[in-house]
Amino acid sequence: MSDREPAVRVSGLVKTYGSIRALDGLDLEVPQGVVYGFLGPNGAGKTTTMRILTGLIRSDSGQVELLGQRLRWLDRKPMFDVGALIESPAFYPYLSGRDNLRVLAGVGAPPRAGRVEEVLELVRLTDRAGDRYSTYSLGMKQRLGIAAALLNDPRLLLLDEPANGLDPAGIVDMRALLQGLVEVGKTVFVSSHILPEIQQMADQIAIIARGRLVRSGPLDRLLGESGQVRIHVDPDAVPHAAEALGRLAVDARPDDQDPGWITVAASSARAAEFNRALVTAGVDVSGLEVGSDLETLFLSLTKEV
Amino acid sequence: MHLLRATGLKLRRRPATYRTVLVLAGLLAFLYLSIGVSAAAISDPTARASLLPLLAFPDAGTGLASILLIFGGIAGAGYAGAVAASEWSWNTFRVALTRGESRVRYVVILFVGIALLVVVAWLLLCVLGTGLVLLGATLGGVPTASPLDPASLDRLLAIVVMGSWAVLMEVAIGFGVAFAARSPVAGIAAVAGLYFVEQFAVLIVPIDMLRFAPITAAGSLVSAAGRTGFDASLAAPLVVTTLYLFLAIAAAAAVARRAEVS
Repeated sequence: MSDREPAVRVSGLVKTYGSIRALDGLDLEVPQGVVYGFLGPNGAGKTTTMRILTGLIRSDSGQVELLGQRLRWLDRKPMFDVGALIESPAFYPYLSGRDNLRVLAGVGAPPRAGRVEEVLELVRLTDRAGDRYSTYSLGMKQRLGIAAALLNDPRLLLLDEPANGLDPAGIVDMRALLQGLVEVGKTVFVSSHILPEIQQMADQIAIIARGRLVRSGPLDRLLGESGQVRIHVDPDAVPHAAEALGRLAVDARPDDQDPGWITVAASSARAAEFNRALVTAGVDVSGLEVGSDLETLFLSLTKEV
Repeated sequence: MHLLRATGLKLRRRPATYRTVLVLAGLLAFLYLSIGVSAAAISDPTARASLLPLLAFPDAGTGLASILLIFGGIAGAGYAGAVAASEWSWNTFRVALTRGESRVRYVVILFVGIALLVVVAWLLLCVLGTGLVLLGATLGGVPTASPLDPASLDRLLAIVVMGSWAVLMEVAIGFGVAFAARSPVAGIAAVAGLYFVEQFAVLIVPIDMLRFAPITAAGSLVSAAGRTGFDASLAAPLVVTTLYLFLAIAAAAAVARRAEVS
């Protein structure tokens, strides 16, 4: 495949379960060499999408391409370059972590010699690799799941809630690990509910709701487009300031928890305009914060659907 | 080969693999020692004579294989069913698919791994059982020919080979049903149910038809091997047994091929 070809291309994906339309014509393009956050509320179709991408279930219609290869039912070749952790990690409880990886190494495309020890080291499980999987903590199980996904040194990683059960240090490690993979040209597609984590980690995101793509693109651009501006004024001047901002046709809301602060839902590029309007209206601005968080963006986009 | 090695590793380390064999060995020991002790206590020549087929070779080989076929078949079906169903409950089948493994190959090789272990267990239990028959005969004071006499040996070898094939068929049914139903209980219930149903079916179904039933065919295979050793009389039950074995695996493979895996 060429470098310009998307790592994942999904077009018109439809999947129904009885009367429920889990995916309703989903389109998606994941460029190569990025951490791609895949977001959506419960029931939006994230897990269904992940299952179709890994060949676990069939779509009713639509197409999937992984690393330039069309994914067809029972065609396992496109999966040889893909590593996946779907939902929860799954291993034999009576085997050690190391033996579980050895068993997996015999399944599908064989990894290179010594890879089991490499991935154990990568997820910092070497010390406990000889212990039975059933004795592992939730975080260790998750790390072993990531190790299994990395076994084939895949060019594309599909991870469903990879931070589940990880402690803060584990989350930091995982973030560094995934970003390190991207630095060497791999693509990481992450479905997650932990929005601050995605905000720190992802280069691009897609937000889906009711089985459809709501918005996608570079995270910075999306946050900039639908950002927020927080303005601090004298608490007594808040009603007057809100009125002045309202004249600019923006949604300005005084912050009840934080007296004197007003939150304006608007692109950060308009911060100077708001400052000017307030000064013109005779309100002194004593603080101004720009930016947005993914949570605000996510809630605003998924609420509309 | 990689997949078979991986399957071997996961089956060899599974505690149930050894527990199943140990339970069967314990059961055999209990049965034959009880029979030996009972034989010693019986003074009535007619009653003692009824124990001869169980303790005296060459007939004791058929008795041993029949016991092993019933208990081994049900235990083996339970074991294979548990292995097959756990691929669903532990989601390890799902992981294999996400690694690009072929659905059909995975299931067939899983059964091949189980079958290899079943054959090894069958051989071990046959050797142990032969020893226990001799011990029971000694305890009971029953005169027996050596199992290594040419007359006994030919029949014993036929019983061991055909018995292992018969027990594999029962294990395959347990495996196929459990994989399709995604339930470990379904496999053992299917084989135990067949034993039960075929026992009573003899009352209403003509015997000519019943010989095409799986458990009856497996039993016929073992008893024919015990009667005559390797000869043409094995052909019909061997064909029926083989057919059921492959049908069961084909059914499991078909389910794997079509299944939506969540």
